[in-house]
Amino acid sequence: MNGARTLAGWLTDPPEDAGLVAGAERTRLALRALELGLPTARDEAWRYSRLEGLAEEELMLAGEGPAPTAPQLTALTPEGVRVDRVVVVNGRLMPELCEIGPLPAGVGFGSLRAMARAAQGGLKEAADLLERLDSLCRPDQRMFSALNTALAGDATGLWVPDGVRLERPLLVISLVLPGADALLTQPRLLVVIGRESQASVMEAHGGFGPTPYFCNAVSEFQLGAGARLEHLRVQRDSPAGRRVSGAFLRVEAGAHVRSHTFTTGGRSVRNEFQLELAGAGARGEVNGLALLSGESVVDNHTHVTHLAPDCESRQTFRSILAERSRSVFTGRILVARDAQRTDAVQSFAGLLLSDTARALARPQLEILADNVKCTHGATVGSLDPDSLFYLRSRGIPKALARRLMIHAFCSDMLGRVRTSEMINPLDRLVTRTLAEQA
Amino acid sequence: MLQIHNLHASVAGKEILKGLTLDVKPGEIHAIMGPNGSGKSTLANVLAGRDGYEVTAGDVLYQGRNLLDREPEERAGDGIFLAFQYPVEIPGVPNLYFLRMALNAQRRHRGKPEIPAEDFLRLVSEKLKLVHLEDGLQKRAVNEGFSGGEKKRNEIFQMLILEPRLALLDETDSGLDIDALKIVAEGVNAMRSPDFSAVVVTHYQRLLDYIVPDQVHVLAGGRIVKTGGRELALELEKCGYGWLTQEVTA
Ligand SMILES: Nc1ncnc2c1ncn2[C@@H]1O[C@H](COP(=O)(O)OP(=O)(O)OP(=O)(O)O)[C@@H](O)[C@H]1O
Ligand SMILES: [Mg+2]
Repeated sequence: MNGARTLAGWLTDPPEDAGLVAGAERTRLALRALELGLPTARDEAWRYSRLEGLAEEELMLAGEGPAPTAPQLTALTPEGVRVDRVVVVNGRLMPELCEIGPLPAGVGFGSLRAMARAAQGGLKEAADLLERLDSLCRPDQRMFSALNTALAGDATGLWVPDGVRLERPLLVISLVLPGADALLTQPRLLVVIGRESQASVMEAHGGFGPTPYFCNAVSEFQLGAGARLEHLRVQRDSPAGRRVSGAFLRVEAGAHVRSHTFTTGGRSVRNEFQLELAGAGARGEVNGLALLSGESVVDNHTHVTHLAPDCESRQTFRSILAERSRSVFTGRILVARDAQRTDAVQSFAGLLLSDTARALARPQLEILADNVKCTHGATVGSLDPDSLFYLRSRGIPKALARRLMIHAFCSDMLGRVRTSEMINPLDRLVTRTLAEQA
Repeated sequence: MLQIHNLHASVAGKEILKGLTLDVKPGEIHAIMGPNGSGKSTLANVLAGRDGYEVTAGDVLYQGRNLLDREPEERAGDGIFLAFQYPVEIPGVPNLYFLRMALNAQRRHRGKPEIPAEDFLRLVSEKLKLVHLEDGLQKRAVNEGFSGGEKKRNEIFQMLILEPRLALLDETDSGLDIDALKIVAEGVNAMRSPDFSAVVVTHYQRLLDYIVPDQVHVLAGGRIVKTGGRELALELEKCGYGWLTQEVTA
């Protein structure tokens, strides 16, 4: 007996040491996840994600994993710069791989379980952080959130008190390294940035090997008034991997968040973004770039809610699609009655590199305020043959010319990243992915 | 240098070039004039290797070798340069980055090492002066937001950097003011040497005051219908093409 079970099997009888909350709350969430159930083929919001057969699949609950190889670790790590990092393999924190240097007073970064112990020991910040768990990801309505909280092995937490500016980016590397058995992993990140504080947080997710896995990631971010956060997320999955990842962001008055997600590979990747502009003058930027080939599918869902006046939101999504890959973008903007002078922009562009690739954009605007600027646009096209000929006529070989143009198509996405340490690693990733696809 | 014999080519199933013959020797400059739609750009595009043109008969030798089975980038590497009638804007590709990539690709093609960065920059600032283009433009994306005249001068600038053996200039003078016209002509004249040739497509004899051609051809109805010296251009300017096309159909 190898111990693999279905999702329902795990939820019905969770192992002792699983879950981020204890006792009755965990039992309640596990039951809630069972009630909500996995999305079915009839579920309109999920019809493009490929989760078929997941309910029947026997999965190991992530546990002890092999030590990652150096390239797996460094693929997404900036070279020659110090960053503080947490490394998670198959849902378990690897203390020997973590590098957390001295941080400013009051800042907490690391295992949420360790923080829970510290909270029991009387550390107030740890208790405050834990209190925010689940406050944005709607575990009572969202099955994948309930599943994550009920079964995750551990989580990464970041607490930045008021008025602290973190100089170095913080990195969470989260790898899925399945052995012979299919795997369920549930990375979790909880970030609270205090008033007028500033941080840059990067999540590097990678899945390797031929064994199937299902990765259910949840990240919650709360920004106090006047705070600044840049959130970078890179997801590089194997063709056998399926991923649902949710980023839940709440931004208080005058605070700014920029969130960038780079997706490559994967059999099916569902990215959900929930952005709440909760205080006057808040600003949120959500960017997504996908570089896909083979049979990969990316299903991006955004849900941007303007709750307060004078807020600005920007959603920019780009997909570069080779072979038989697919991209769906469903962008929802909700402007509440009080959110006067909202400025919301949404754009999607798809670049099809083959006749069999497909891209679909579905804007959904719901505007209840009357003084609002809200625009959206979507384009889907292929590489311009005139530009390609122009480049070739100057001596640039066809494959290189194509890559140059593809890179140009997404260069503005890289240009949006402000954390300078991360620009080169991202550029390398994009260049390498394009080279592999060409 | 370039020998075109009885070239027939069609676009979208329509025959545009109908038996064109032209011989350009090393060091020579040939001007091609002719009415709109007569096939001048078609000829330039066929020579540069653009997709969508079907050669149905005839042959083209470049430096003694069949040109038509070569890829566009190979032709460029072998020294052919096309200055586009309508230079393309390519957002997201910085001009200098593109140009350095092109130069290095051509050098690799010729078995030469890549140009060191500082040599490239020196070359750029030297040639920019010749075409009176501001440095700032080169940091922008290829031709993006360039004025019509800037685009044309940028073509000449690229030619000066890439140093082709055979330049095909497709109406590089169109839309230029008199100063810009002189700049373009100076650019071409700077290239003149016993092993540089050019085919200059133009509607205006004025350009030929500055770039003195060895021969002037009239292309009409897909063929060279008349060839002469500089004075032919003057005649055309005065009398138009009407009398020539009548000669052809007669
Ligand atoms: N891609 C195309 N599809 C269809 N017809 C084309 C295409 N390209 C060129 N043609 C046609 O071929 C003919 C010759 O065009 P070409 O551009 O070579 O003329 P030209 O001599 O350069 O004219 P101009 O002086 O106006 O630049 C024209 O009738 C044009 O409409
Ligand atoms: Mg023309």
